[in-house]
Amino acid sequence: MEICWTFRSKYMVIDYRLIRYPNTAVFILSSLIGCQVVVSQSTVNSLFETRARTILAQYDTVRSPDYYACAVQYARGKYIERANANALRLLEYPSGDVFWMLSSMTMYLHGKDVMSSKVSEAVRRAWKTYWPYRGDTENHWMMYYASLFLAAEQWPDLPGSDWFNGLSSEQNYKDAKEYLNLNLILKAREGFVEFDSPTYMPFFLGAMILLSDFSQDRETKIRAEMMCDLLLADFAVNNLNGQYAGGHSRSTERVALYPMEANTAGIASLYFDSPQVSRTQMEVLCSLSKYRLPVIIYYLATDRNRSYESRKANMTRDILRLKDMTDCNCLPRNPIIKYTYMTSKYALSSLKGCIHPIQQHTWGLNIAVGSMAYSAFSLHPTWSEIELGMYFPEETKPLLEEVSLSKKYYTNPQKKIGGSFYERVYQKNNTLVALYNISENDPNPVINGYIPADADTIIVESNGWICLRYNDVYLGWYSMGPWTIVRESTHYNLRSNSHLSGYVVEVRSAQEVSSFDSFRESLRDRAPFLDTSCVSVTYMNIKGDLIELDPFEWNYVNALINGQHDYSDISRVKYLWTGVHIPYKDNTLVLDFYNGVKYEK
Amino acid sequence: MVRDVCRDNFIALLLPSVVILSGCSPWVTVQNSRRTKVYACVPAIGSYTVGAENKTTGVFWKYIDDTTWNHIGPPNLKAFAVAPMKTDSGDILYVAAGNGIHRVMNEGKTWQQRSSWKERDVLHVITKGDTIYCGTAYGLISTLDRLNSLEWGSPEGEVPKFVTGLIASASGVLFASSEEGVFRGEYGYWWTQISSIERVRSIHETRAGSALYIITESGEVLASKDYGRTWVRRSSGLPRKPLYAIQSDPKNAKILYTGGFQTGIYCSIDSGLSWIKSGLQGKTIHAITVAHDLNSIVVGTTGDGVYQSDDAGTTWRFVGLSGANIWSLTID
Repeated sequence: MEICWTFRSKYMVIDYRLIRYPNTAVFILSSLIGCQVVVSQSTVNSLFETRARTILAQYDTVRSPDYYACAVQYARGKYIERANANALRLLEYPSGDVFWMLSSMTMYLHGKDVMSSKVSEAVRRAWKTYWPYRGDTENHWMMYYASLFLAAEQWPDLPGSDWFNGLSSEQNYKDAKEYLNLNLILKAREGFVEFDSPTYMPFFLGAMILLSDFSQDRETKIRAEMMCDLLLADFAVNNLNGQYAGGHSRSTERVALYPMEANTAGIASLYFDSPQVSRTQMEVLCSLSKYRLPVIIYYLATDRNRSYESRKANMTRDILRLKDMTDCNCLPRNPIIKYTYMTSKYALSSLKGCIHPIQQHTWGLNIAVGSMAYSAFSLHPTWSEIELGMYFPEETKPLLEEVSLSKKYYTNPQKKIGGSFYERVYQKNNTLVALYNISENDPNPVINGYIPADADTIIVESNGWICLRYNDVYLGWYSMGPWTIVRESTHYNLRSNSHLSGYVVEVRSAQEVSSFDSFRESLRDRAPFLDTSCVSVTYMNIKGDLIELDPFEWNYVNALINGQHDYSDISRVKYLWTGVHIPYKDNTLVLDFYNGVKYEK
Repeated sequence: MVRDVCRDNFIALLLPSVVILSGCSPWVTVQNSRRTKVYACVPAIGSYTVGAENKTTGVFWKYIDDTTWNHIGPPNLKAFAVAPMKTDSGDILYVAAGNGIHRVMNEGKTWQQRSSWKERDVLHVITKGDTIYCGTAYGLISTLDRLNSLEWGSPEGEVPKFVTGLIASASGVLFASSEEGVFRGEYGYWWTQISSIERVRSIHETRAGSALYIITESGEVLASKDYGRTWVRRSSGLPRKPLYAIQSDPKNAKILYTGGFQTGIYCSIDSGLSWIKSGLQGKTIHAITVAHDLNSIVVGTTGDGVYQSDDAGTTWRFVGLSGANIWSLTID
């Protein structure tokens, strides 16, 4: 029996599907330290607090100047004099823009009752004289306005001459509050821009954590707390033992190859009890916080006894221009749909819809075997002044060079992240089709498919399937065009130089098929057919579903499953928005951002 | 000999009036400088990463007869344009930037944000009377009270979405260029699209208002003598590369300068009927300004800082902001 976790949004229905369990007040989880543990809210809190103490203890003794170390030392009442000295050094030359705002405000709010008056005055002085740039991304703006709001609360009634931006406390407070409250509602209703980002989500979360801890405004405080819930729920449903399964809006090349190097892996270790790693100082901010993860979200993150699908709708950055010059036929608000098939051993996940510029990770297979984490994916490693021009205000031609200066990989023919206008992905459970129909004018008309090299077994079948075994996870990879294979460090690159080609991927675990041999056997008579005349794919997957795709007819992929249109991933109807509902078994966590109310039912 | 003298600013300052041979204009007159200021807006020098140790960006100025640039305001600002305004209470400078609009007073000592969270990617700013108009990557905004509040209004009618140029015409109306064409604003409030030429990069009006010029991503210069109703192509001799900047000589409206993506400077002495190369070969030009009372042409490049010619484009010299992307140059 299935339940459907629904985020009702203006444009989309977002389902988190899980298998319903028998009606019971307690749940048996097998993922904790090798034995079954009964988990309650207090257990979740206790697990978090243990991890948090470990993290904070590492910062007790930090001697070098660091805002977060100072915050820890103030909060825990240890080495106050050292914290005072380091804080004064740091505040002498503030730098770091929005990152400085968040870190300096974290230190101030956790330490203002114990820090010396000199430090307190130095913080105030820095907020008067140092003008942090607001940045241009979602996480930047959240850090900027959350910190500014808190600062305006701390120092009310000051004239503009006492603030870096010349606005009075009242003006800064009003501006920041309006931004925060409107945008938290908007993001809950229509999705994030930097959605599911293993790199940047922790910074958004950090800003919300600080806001939820220290805001004196009840409305803002509760919305910030709910946003923490939502960010972590988004992550939880795609959490594979610390890996953020993706499809991601913004990732990095390292994270694409090595998912446990993501910043979010540190957040997962703190909240989801996954392997302990430390990635960013946002973990410190979280560890100092009074925020506690609702047990429902903990279950979302850790209950992998059954496989499930999830769908989420988010959006791209604002498209400023050039929409008509691409195949990017975006719907209003530029939605991107992320579809994930999650099991205890692997997650297969993909994006459909508009592309997110520069750092998109369009689809990925994450495998968790013991302590190992593997990632497979494919991409068209291209670059385009049109892509940049769509999203950034500078002139399009020079943008290529400018972006390449700060993101050197962008024009690298061997890059590991980035979307393409010529890429379409369709996924149904654990079957995925990635098709590429690349323009003759493209600067790099190749497709790279990256497969972890340290498989236990690799067999190239006579019918073209490459079958790989990673312990008890089995991967079948089929190239619909000529290919070569090159070993690149930890991965094989299955490369195609054809303008029209693609891959079909099948994944199963030992829980789903009886053996690797039977997995191979099931692929024996299954050759996907790519019709190059009309760019369509026909394929009957292992499950027996006949998949017919005309992916370049429509950006969201026109798919027939056994002759029936599959509209499950696209907008169907505009629902009245009723808040975010996060159900698990018989409980539902409701985040009503409009009314600023959070409750369980 | 005369040219050599004119290349030397200090000596040129001593000369009340010197006649020289120019690269584009047959004869022009150099008059004594009155310490004209030129502002350069720099959104980036090399790469710009929020939170990182970037090179100083923002608003710079120098006297046109000097080579020393002075920086005002935040050192990490992605500045795109400035608009000086003379008021009874002193000079004001409005600054368009990635993070909104700023008002600068007291010679740069007082710097105030004058926009809310809603304003972003503000690329152009002009003043007309007491009104400030801004062109952004999201459209046009204006205010009516010299930015005493943070509230901005949006005009009505057929409004451009992505504004690439904004001018106050001598005829009393406003013109905006955009990705979608050219727009005309009556009283700055009611706008009408007057041309659907796509991907217009900038718009310019000669000083006396005798002609409008637009330049396009496809490398075209188009001229209009009827306030934008009809446009004629004036691109003979130009490379088919995106053009980003166009200016006319304030003293002779037939003399035009343009430049764009890896084009260097091109010059026309016949109102754009024909164009010839005028130096800075291969450089990407994004800003051109011509001093009213001098023969100085100041050119902002993308990635190569600022160049200046004091002999009407015959010779050029580098005048600083090494490596900078210059989005706009404004003479005060």
